[in-house]
Amino acid sequence: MSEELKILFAGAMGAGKTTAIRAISEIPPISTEASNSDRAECDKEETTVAMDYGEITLATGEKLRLYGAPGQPRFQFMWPILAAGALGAVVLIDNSRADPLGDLELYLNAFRPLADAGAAVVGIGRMDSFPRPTLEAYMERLAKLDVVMPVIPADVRRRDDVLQILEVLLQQIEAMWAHDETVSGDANPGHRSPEAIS
Amino acid sequence: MDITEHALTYGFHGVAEAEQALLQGMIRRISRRLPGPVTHVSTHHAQLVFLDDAAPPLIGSDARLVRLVRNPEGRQSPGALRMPPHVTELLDIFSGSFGGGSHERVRCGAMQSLVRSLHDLFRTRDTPQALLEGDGASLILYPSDRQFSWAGTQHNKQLLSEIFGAQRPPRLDLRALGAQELDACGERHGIEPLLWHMGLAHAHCGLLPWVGRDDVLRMRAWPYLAGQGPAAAMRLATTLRARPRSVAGLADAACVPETDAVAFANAALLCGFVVAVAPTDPLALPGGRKPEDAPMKVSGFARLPGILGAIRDALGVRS
Repeated sequence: MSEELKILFAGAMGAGKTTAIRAISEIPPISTEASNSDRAECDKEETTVAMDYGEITLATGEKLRLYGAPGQPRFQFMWPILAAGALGAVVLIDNSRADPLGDLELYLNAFRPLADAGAAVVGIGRMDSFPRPTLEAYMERLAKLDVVMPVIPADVRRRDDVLQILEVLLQQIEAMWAHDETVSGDANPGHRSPEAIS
Repeated sequence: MDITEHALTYGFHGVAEAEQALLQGMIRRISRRLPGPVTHVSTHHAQLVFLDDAAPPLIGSDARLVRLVRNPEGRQSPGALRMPPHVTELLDIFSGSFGGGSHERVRCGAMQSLVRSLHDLFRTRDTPQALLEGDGASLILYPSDRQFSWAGTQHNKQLLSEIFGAQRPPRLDLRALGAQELDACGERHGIEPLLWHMGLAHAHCGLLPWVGRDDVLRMRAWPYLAGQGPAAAMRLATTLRARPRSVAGLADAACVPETDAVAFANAALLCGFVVAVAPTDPLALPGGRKPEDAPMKVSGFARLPGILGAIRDALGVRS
């Protein structure tokens, strides 16, 4: 198989993308951190300016690549490049930021194809300290945007929380695959067949 | 017939009028010692049927049959009465019926009525406040804001948590809220967790009364996954997220018992995370959006289950 297997982590600066990748990667994450020149956006010393990279080796010998997209909107042009061919995306939202629902909408628009295909999950961080917006508010916003996707409170410093997000993502992809397989078994010439896409 | 008003119904099949009169007299005698009212109805609607030798041809599948036996001495004289059960046996028969399915049916009638009222209340959002009370607990509802607050003490919260935690139908009543009660209310919370647990509890009484078994469930927002085993809940949610299905189809596709699917569907429907549409409705069809760069296309359709399994193995998670 020539195509790489990758999962993308997206979200605003400080949402925890690097931390999430560190929690599950079997290699120390390779980060392109630089001094943060945008302290108004996020008050931390360093931030990712291109991307983070981690990986997990599968039993087949293949690598599952974990990419963290840079959070600043000025790097938005990179998001579709990183998303192309991704198995799925994890969108991390920091509930302590000024407009978390606005962040959700921004990243949802950027990764809409993956969300529509059931290959995206939203993880909400810092809900303990910043309970608003509530989960209901996120669900309501997504419903207005005509998107159904999992929204899960998560502390990405905890490996178990990251694993839970990934498990939801994998189950969604699996359920969509089962649905597609059923449909392709029907007389539906317009639907893609395994031969057509592998 | 409104089963919330009739705790237990009984009927006769092939029993002579004189025997019926005798039995009814005995039933009147014991009725004061029964936990609820008993009512004589036609055989087809009865929960408890007293019968002669021949079983009734048409009977509710869950009706309890009580066969009357002939007094051995009566065999000697034509036209003798069949012997009704002794009064203590009759009391046992009725008490046993109260303790079994019919009692549950009565509770389910009350539960269905309550759930329907709550559903209407929060769907229309017209009523500013209402009080929900019973089983020693009470809480205040704010339908226009989709919120509730615990009335009075923390004890209420524990009590209701236990009721819903045990997933048993609560004996709760809905009524208008007095001004004094409104003053005593505490912090407000979103109504969804409460409705979610009420939906799970309703699974003992089947699907929500306004939802048909053939109706197709369509997810409109990702639901809570509380109160059920996390693995089953996750499978139900992701399966329904993939495409609309009937409750039986959902159970089948998610490989869970149908009662789990009913509980999930009830909870998600009550909260509005899922809507039920008629099978003929265009909304019952699977969504049409299928972007070209969907992950299945990229990763190889046929290999996907193997890849996902390998990822799970590497991460140490099990589906």
